Amino acid sequence: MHELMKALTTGLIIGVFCALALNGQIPDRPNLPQQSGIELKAFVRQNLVPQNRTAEFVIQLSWAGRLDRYDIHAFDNPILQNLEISGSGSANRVSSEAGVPTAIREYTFQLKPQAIGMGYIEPLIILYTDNETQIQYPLSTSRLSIQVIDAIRERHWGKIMAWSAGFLGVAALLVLAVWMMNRKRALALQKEQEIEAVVPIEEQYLAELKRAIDLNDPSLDGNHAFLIISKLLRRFLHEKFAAPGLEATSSELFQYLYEHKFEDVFINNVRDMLTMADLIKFSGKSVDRNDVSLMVTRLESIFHNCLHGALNPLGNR
Amino acid sequence: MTVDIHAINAKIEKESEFIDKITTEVGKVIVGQKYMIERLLIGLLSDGHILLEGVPGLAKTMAVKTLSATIKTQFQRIQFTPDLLPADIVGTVIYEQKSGSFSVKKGPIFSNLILSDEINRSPAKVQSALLEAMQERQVTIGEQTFKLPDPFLVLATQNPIEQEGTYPLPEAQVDRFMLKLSIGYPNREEELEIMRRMTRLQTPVAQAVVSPEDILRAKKAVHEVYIDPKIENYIVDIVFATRKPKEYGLDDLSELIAYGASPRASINLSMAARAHAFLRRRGFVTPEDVRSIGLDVLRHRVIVTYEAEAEEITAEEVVRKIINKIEVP
Repeated sequence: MHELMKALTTGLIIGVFCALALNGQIPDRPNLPQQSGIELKAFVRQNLVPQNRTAEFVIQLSWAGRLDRYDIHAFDNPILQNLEISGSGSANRVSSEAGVPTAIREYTFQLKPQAIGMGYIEPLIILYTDNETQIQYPLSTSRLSIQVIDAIRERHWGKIMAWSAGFLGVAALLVLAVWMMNRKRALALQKEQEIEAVVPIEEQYLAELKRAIDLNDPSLDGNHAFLIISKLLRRFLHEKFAAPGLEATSSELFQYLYEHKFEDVFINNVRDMLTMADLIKFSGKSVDRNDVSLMVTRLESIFHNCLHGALNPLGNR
Repeated sequence: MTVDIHAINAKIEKESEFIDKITTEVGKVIVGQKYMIERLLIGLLSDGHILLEGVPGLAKTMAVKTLSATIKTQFQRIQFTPDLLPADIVGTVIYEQKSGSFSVKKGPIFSNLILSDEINRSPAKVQSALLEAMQERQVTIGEQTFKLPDPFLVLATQNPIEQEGTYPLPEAQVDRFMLKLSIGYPNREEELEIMRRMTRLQTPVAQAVVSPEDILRAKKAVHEVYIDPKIENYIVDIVFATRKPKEYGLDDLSELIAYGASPRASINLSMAARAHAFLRRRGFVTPEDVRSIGLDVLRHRVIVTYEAEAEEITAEEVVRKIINKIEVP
């Protein structure tokens, strides 16, 4: 008897402990029916999150049928460890799966890590009411973990973009300024060339000859006049026909005219004039006004003939 | 100032008649080398000595020998060697046992035309003895001073390819040569003619066609060739451009020239241009005369810098650039 009483007492104590233990496992859970037509998914989009980024915690409830079939009760924010909520949102949508409409309600939380290490999202109880039966049901999420890692380098794209935009702007301005300057210069040059083109080179030389040698001047220095005539002719040949310039001797100039197949008449004329000029310039020979006058006339005729096309020094080559 | 150019021209025409005779006679022996023969005559007529640079076998010696033969003058060839002494050139005083007195033995320098072969093979004292005689035109042996004959022309040769065991002429002594000629190889036709002519049984010989007196008269006439102040200024411009190239728009040459040409260059260029005009039988100098002879007068007088040497730019190139840049009058 005594043995029987002892076994009953032990059994009662174990029974009471078991009942207490079972009751203590979900102390906050209301005493509600466990049947549910709703599917619950709770997850984080990134399990590994840098300290300077946010993780997204998603609670997705979906059920078959209309959206207003169930009424989801408002619930508190999840209890977090080493994390804090930096933003949240919710959305409803209806999709069709195999011809059956499915309603989806989604809650998202942006979670910002606090320190490097592990972060946790504690289980969350969501209550909902079946609008057809008016019965309330609970749903529960699991405990989820997130690993917080070192912060990653911020790229400051904004700053880079701002600098790039500034640089491009300045460069564009510079290009524009250079282009405008070049255009201005080109226009000025074009204008000059147009002005020059208006006055043919032969006329320019005729005018220069007239200015340099005044045959009516009683103090005309014949020797100096020959020097001017020689220089004008050589400069003209250089500018007009790209013949050697003033650094070439008369014979080098004749050589050029021969090599470039100028007309014999033209070469002979130039040779006569320059030989005569060389003789006057370098031999100390006295020269009278008639010689100068004759030379000026010959030079003028070269300019005139070239101007009016009567003389084609290059012949038919 | 008015010059009687007709009179000068007439005189030059007359005095330069022998030029054709000389060139014809020399041409019988020497094939081509017109440039060298003309420069030898310029040196002879303007009292300027000549430094010839060229590889062996280019008829340098033969040209001088032939020229000498055409003028009826004395010719001496002195081969410069490391053991040569000044007395071997100028002469010495020797004791005559028979008479018991000292007598002068004149050296080979007492000739009209002297070929100093490979002048850079002898030490400086021998070179100096020759160059002093060239300058002074007299030598002192013992206590007696002797004038050298007239005409007197020294032609020194240098071999540009063998520099080992040589004594390069100092710049100051090189400056005493009026012209430095760079002798090149003959062309193909000339080479053929040389080969044919020199392999005959009887090699051609030049005849004497001119007397030394003709040369002396011609030298006098060369001095009378008219040189206009414009040409003189042109010469000075060229020489100054070797010293201050920047002032003549030759900025790129200022880093390449260490020392420009001396006033002796201006004098020699003027004289050589006159002689060149004389050879053309003209009584006045033109820029062509200056340009033709300018390179030969200046190439040994312009000293280039290390930078130029490093860039393999020669004095000749520098001078050529200057001559091509300076405006002719």
